[in-house]
Amino acid sequence: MISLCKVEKTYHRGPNEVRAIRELDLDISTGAFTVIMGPSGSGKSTLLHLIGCLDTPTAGDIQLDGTNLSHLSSNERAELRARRIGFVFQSFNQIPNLSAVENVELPMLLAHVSRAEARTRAKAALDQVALGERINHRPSELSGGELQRVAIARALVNNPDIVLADEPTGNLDTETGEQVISMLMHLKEKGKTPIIVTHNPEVGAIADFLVHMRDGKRVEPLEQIRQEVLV
Amino acid sequence: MSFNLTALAWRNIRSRRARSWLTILGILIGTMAIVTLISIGTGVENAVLRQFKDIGLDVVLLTPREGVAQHSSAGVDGTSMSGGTQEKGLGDGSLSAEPLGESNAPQMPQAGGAGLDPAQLRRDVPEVTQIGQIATQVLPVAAGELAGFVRVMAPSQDLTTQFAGLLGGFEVAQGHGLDPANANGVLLGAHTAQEMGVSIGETITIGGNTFIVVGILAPSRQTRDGLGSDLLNGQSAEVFHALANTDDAVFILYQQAMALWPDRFMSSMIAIRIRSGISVTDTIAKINAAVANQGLSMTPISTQALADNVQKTLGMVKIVLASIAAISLLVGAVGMMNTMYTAVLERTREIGILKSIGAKDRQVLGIFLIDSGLMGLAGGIFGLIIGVAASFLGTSLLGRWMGVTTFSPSFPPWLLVGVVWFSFILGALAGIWPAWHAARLDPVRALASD
Repeated sequence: MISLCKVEKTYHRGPNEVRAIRELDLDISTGAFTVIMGPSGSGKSTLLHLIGCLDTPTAGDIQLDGTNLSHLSSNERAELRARRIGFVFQSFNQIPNLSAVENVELPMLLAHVSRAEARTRAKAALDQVALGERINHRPSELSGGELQRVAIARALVNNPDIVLADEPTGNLDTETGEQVISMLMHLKEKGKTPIIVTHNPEVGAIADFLVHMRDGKRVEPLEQIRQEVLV
Repeated sequence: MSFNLTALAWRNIRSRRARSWLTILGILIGTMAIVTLISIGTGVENAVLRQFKDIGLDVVLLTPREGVAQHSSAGVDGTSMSGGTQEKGLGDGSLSAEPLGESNAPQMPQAGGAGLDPAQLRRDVPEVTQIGQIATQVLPVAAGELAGFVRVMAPSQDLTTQFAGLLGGFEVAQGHGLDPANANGVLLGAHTAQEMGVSIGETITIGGNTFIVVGILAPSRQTRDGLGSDLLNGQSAEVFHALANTDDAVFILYQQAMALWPDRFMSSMIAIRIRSGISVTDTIAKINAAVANQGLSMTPISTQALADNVQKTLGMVKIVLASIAAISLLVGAVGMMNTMYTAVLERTREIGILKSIGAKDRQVLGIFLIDSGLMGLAGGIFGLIIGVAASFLGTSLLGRWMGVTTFSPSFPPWLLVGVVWFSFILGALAGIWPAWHAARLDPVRALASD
């Protein structure tokens, strides 16, 4: 269970203050296929970064299975990211000089897994996303869909509880995008909690739990539509 | 854990091959310079000390005081012999086919008095265990149809046996050494023998007196690895150089020279070995007084003092050379710092990715530190290998230039281990600031960078 209580996130850009998240309360159940939607600048990605321990809230508490993430040190948050959270990004975020298998090995090497075991598990993870034949290819030699599948393999290789995907289909064609969403959706069958940020209403339509964001706040879908009409 | 970080750092180096090699090159050049300069410097030092050890470090040398009349500056007929000038047709009066061997060695100053009485010196200074002396003069020498002025060196037999190091090793290549039982025996220097073309048992005349060739010397060790005397100053250098260069001289016994030419030959150097464990300073004072009592005007100096002076001079030279080389290593380290900082800027997004998948700050720091340390280590190892090769090449060229063949570079273990270790540490140090910068990057901002 992920719980957010009156979470605030304010950025300081020179003399200006940007309130990216405003007094947000949210509960995400374990295993729920969660989709976060909203227009650009609504705070979707910031929310994902806060849940993923990449950032800390300015105020409020974020709890993961009872652990208050707001009070963790930088190292403890890194440890949590390594063991319990997997990230999938819109721009794939592969390290360009490493092969697919080396990219997938990385989280394990950072989590003190031996090199031999890391290699075995990375190959298996790439097999699962149907890239077993492309393990030695560098990112520049892979298509967008393949890159995103490598990213999913990397996100899953440490067997995390939560998989966070920030617009994972944004750079993919429709068919490939559907495959990626399907892969992420099926993670809940393995007991994981996939949380996806997307603009795609079709993805929202299949969500177990849909969160609409606007101006850093959670809004109800009808309210969202009304505000969009007013705009 | 650190092995994994090393693997990651190694992948980084491998993926930026050209830049990594250029960075390594900066450290390589510095390391190579240090290895080359120090090994050659140490080689020179060892060669010099070997020469002094040949002579012995328990020896006191007496050389003529400066300002004393230089008898050897004029030949028998008044012709200047400075620089080995020679004349043809001396001896039997006939014209020689070729000029006789040139006497290129520097002329030695001589003491302005009669020779030393060794027995008296031993009585006056009981700490003295061995005494050898030598006198020199330039005299007309004739061998068959060849004739000319040649440097005649007259060592006592003790000098040739117990202080051979002073005479360039005084190794007899053919025949035998000087023997008081055969007072008219003469030994020829290697080059002189070649020029004269005489064999053992043949006769030559020196100043009109007939001598039998009893032996021919091997080339002087001075001309093979003679570096020591070049590093001395003033009169000591002249005497050392002249004594050690035996190739262009002929040798007769000191006693015979004194008997035949009592007014012409005078001591050029007296070598005295003192008992071990005795204070050199106190003994030198006693020797000084005893020599003055015999009417000789000579300056004493211990070989230990000479060796210390040379070692001090070479030590300074080595420090200066190593400092210059260290500057080039430092420049290499700054180049590495630049490379690492550029890498951090270029790889900001990668750092963000690493952090998003669980890299701790210290792991990011470690990856960059190991990255720069490995490049430093590679620069150190390659610099060492090339430096060793350059040292051998350098000594070969230097030896050829100086006419020395047995001089070789020296590689003390501390240099070999230290230079590689130092390169690794320097590389890691150069990476500290960029690595610290990388470790402190905010993951969200790093991920958002282009």
